[in-house]
Amino acid sequence: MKALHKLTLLLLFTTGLFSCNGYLEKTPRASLTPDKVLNDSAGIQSVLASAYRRMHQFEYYGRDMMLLGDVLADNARIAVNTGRYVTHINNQIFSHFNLWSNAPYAAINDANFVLEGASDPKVIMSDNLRKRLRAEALFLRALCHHDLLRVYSYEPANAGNFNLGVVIRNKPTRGASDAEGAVRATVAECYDFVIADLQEAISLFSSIPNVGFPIRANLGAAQALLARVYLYKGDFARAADLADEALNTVDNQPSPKPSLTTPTNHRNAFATTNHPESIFELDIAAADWSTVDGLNNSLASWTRNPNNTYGGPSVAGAFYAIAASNSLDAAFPTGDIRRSGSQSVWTLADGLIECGKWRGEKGSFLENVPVIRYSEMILIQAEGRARSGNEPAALAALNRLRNARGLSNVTLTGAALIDEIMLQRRLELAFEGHRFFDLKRLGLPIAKDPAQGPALSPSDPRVLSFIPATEITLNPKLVQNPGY
Amino acid sequence: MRKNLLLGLVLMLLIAFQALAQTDVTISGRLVDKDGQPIPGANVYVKGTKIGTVTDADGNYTITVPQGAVLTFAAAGYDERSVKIANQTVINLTMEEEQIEAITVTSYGQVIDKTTTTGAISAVSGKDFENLPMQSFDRAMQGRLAGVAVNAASGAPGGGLTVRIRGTGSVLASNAPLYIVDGVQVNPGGISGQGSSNALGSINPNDIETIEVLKDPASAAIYGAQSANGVVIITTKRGKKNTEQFNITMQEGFVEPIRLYNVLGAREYALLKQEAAVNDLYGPTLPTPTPAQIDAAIANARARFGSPDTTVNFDWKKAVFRVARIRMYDISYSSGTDKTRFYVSAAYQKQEGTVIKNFWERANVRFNIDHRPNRRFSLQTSNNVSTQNLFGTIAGGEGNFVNSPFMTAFTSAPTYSAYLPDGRFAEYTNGVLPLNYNILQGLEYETRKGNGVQVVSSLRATYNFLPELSATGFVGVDWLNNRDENIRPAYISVFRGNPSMFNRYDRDFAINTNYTLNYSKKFADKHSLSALLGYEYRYRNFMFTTALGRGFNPNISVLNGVANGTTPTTVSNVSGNVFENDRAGIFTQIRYGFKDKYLIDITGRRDGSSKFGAKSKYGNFYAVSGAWRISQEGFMEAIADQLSELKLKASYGIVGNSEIADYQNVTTFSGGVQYAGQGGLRPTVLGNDLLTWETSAQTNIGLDFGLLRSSRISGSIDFWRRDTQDALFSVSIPADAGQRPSSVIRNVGKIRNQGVDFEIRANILTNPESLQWISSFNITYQQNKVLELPENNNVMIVNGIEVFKGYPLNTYALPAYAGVNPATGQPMYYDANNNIVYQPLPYQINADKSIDFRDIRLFGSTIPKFFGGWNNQFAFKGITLDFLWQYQYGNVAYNSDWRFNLMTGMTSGNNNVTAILDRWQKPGDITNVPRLSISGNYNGVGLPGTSNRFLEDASYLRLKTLTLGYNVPSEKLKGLKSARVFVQAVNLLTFTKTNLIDPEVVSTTANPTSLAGGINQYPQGRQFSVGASLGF
Repeated sequence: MKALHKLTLLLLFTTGLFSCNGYLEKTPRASLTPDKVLNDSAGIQSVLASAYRRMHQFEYYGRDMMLLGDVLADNARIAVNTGRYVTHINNQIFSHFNLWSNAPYAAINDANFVLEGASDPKVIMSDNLRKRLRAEALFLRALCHHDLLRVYSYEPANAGNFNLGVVIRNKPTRGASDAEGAVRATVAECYDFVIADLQEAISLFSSIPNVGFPIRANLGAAQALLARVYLYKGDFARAADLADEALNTVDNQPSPKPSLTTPTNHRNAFATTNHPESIFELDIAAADWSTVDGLNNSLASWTRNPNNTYGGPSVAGAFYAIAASNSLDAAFPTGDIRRSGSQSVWTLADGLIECGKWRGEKGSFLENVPVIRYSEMILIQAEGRARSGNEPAALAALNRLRNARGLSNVTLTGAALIDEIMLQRRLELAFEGHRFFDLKRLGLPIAKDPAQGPALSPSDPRVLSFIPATEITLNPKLVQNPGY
Repeated sequence: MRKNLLLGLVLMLLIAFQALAQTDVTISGRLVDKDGQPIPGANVYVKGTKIGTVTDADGNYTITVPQGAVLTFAAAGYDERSVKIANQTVINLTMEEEQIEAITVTSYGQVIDKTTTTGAISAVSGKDFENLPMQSFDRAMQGRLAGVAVNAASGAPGGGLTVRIRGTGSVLASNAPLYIVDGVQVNPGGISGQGSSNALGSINPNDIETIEVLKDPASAAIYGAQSANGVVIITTKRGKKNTEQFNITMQEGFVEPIRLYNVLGAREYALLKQEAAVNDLYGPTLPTPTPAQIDAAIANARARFGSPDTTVNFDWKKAVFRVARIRMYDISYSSGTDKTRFYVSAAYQKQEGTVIKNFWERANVRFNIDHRPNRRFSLQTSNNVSTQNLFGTIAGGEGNFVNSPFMTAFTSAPTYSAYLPDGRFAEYTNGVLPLNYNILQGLEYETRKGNGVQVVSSLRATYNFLPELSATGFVGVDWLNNRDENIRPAYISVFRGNPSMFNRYDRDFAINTNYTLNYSKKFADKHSLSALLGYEYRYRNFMFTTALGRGFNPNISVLNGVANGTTPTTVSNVSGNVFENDRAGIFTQIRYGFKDKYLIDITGRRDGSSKFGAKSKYGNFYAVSGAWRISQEGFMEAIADQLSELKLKASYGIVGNSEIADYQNVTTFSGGVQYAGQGGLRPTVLGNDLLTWETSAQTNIGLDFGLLRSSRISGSIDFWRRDTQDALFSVSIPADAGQRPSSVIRNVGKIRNQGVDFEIRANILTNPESLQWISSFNITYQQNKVLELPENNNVMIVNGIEVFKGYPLNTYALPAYAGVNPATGQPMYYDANNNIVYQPLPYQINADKSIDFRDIRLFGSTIPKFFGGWNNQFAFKGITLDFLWQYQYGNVAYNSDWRFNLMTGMTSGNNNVTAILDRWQKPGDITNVPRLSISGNYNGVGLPGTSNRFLEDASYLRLKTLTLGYNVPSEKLKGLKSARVFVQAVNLLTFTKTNLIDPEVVSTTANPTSLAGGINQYPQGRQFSVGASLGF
């Protein structure tokens, strides 16, 4: 009978030891429920951090948003064939941006959680913080929606035959039922939504002390983005006005404040964390990347010659997928400091014109990504003014940029003025993802380097990206873009 | 208490009266075993009384019993005997050993006699795979058991295996069976991230007595929510009473790579690159090239890829692969008395891989002890402590492709040497070697270590209240610690800018405990009844910590550990997590047999699990089954010599599968991200509070038979069906909802597996003086079909794999390749009407959810139509020859290696497999290998996409093992009980149509677009070994 007692003891001991605590109820130790996250100002700020983090995924501003706009148009060529971008350079069908199932909608969802949390009066935080969080979330939500519009829809001026915009998401997804059955709004509705978000962000930023902090959105960033959105909308006068406001804001914001680079610091500026021209920049830290991300996925690896023409941290092993196309190289006028001299960011090495903008200055291919630069605002001033009939002021802005790039003043009017502004846009913003979208928004053919095939006519279906087929399967209400 | 005393008094009085009423007789005698050896410690008693004694050391006993009583003789390890006392005074008995082969002891302590079970159970004895150089016991099931498909998931030493019992029933939950080692539920799967590994490798196969596979609900339903994929029960060796066995086995051998791809030599390589460079000058938008342009292109190709006349012809394959050493040392000792028996063993095994630097080793110690202080109480403990160390290599789509030797050994340019003239590694920067990676430099300097320590330990206590009623308590632990280390030093040129060191520490702890009451009794010699009631609880806790250091001073070339005087400039990605789950169940089983002829079993179990939603936490599982032993019927007696055993059996049951990730039932936010120093939180799981078990309705109808006397030919045929209902699917939700991953797990969908298992075993030649031959053959025919998908879909993408309603899981949907246009060298495809197209269109989903396949066709599945094995054992005067053939038929596999090698890989500086020599060269060439190109621009349409060009029939027949042995005759042995020498070969012959490097190591998921899994597979080698086994 003694043994039986021992057995009984053993029995009680083992069941008691492991089953008293949370019997058949286990909650994750490394994650939180939404109620816990959104009832606390630290939690809400963490969700906002997640939204920022998503902005620099490699399919978004971490790489593709910075390069595909050049690859799909005429600014780039394949340098070393590693399979990367080789179908994009030929504009092969289904080789396009894929934002739909990547970062932007995820960042929008995070932003919507932030907006919901920061709007809840039960959450204790200062009024200024509440406004700042809301404003930053609105800024990110607008930027993502606008980028989706740039990729998947025609701009209002060209949307005559196909006027669908993207799905507007303004509520967080808390359960599966929130996810289903969304439809694409029209382009006009989408632009109204994006503009309203930015106007609200500007109003909120204006009501709190401004900060000079280019890696978080601030008043200048919101104004600059609104200038860009008006430019795409074709509202050129407003675009120029907002660019004026943005430059006025940043010129007067607390340090650090951005300024135009000069013939003595243009190249170095790109090797500076917090680019001196950054109105809005995304911060990337070593912790954000796996050990192989730098080599496999980074801007520097995909654009740099592994022999490290420009010096600085090693780019050994860089893929060097793309370099400047012949037509981009040919477009630089003599004396342009971007192409020649000690501050050039386009340099001949090993038979190719290598881009010197992505320097991996933080080491191991790591660097921040400038999303909106000072010179883009000057170019919007010039283009907005020129297209809304204010040519002298346009010329002033144009020459301000030309001088900063070692070029003398020009005196141009009419189409010649517009052409020179667009040329400067191409040269200044090359390998920052603008070229394709500039041609597209103006309804122009997507130019190609002759070696890569003929230009795409504005009606070519490949001007728009495609919504992934699985998304159409999941949601039959979603309309695919024409031609896919 | 007083009542009990009173009752006891009355009973004693009754016995006393009986004793007075009857005449006592004194009986004496001796118990011996079949060899005439005495059996000490046996119980000699009259059932239901206190009259009893125990035999002495010589097996003798003396007892006084009432006349007419029935005397029972019982000794552990022997069949119980009963003798009615008439006039005898001496009873000498030869006790028969228990037939342990015929019974299965489940982890809940029931004893199932194979002749009276109603279930479908297949078994393999440890003797059948003893001393085979395999690293884990799951490999021992390969080809030997009907209904059990086993394939190597990697040919790496110590690598993982895929085991499927009766098909593939789940898309999202695990398809691995439940493994129970001496009652302990052990977790299968990898243990290291640095190479393919297998937690089941911690058990030394030579310690195994039997492996039994419970395939149908009658046998498996007692395991409830975990049994849908079948149950594998491992019983390790235990000491036997009055025997002493001391064994030493040593084995040495080598493994050589087989079926490596043939690649081009330097001259062919350089010539083909020239041809490709010239081809690129032609295109629809390009002007016809001038001779000068052609000369320039050739000069350029020579400068880049090497001249056809180069003296460098570096054989990367030869440098990367090797003939490697394998060795095994095994020692075991077992002994026992009537009270205590034990088995102890220690073993060491080291297998080098066929890739340089790669190895796996295991050392383990086992001790199994049985103690039975008295007739009522017994204790059993089983313990295994082992360590598995590996130095891994990148294979099977892990990581970056170029640092896998299984890609880069075949793609590195033969015109480029891995070494400088002075013997140092050459480093290149012009991109001709894939990503400038010198694979030999990488293999030499990159550290990929895994070091696991695992304990599988259990204790079982049984108390017999009555001979027919017992209680059992059981506790088992599976505890695994593993430490991984990956160092990428600046010695490797591509990591020079970013040397790194990664450490990961894992701890996986699981405890399972159960308590059962067993009742078993035979009434009136006709009715046998047994019943079981039990409770079980299991808790698992898995945690890991990782740390990654980067930005080490590049001047410090080799990093050996964290504290070696070098500090990373960034310590990043320090992370960890804890996962917990628990499960509890109560269960019962009632078995009734009439004259061992008509048998009925009923099993029921209720389980609860922390993994499931609050509203559906508990599930009920059951099985009913019956059997009719036709051979026991009177009318069969006439043909008993021809048909010695015939049993018809049927079972039906509902069982479950709960092996999904933890915490899928609640919406949660997780961290692990940051922005500018602010920690981030984001929604990672969209919860489903209705999440519950996958249930599987299973049916088995079978016939067990034995032909000729004493079942010289025996076998079984089973017809089975498994219908997975409430199949768990990760149901995608629209990406624009922003949830990442954009899916939620729901119980939707139905999947059917059905088939026939057939096993036959024949003692063809039985003369012990001459040739003996035992042959066993098995075949499994199976079908798999998706019956229903969520929301009436006809196709869904689950974890990146397309699932089509009405078709088997893992069916390939691809454009049909039509070869190469003889005029242009451009690849062509067929549309639905067999017209040629150049850009095949993907399928579309119509508004009514039907599929418009457009240019896509369905091309078969990775699930074989049938598979099995044929095992033969010959013996002739001490010489033995055993061999096992193993086969599978009717499955396809996508040759991702060739797809890469001949398509994307063709366009760079990569070397190619020799199949590229069939390329299109000039108008009029009929071939299916397109025109060469470096730019990848085929007349402006870019590289060809995925098609069935590389989808191959992966059926195979393989001579898996062959062992030739010699048992030294006992009269020649001095001081030895036994001695055996043997030579053996593994994977000696393979017959297959596929070009794949190993038809066994293929991706079992149909996912051609993501190359992971099917590419860079580590093939199995051919092993030869010699060994000797000595018994003392």
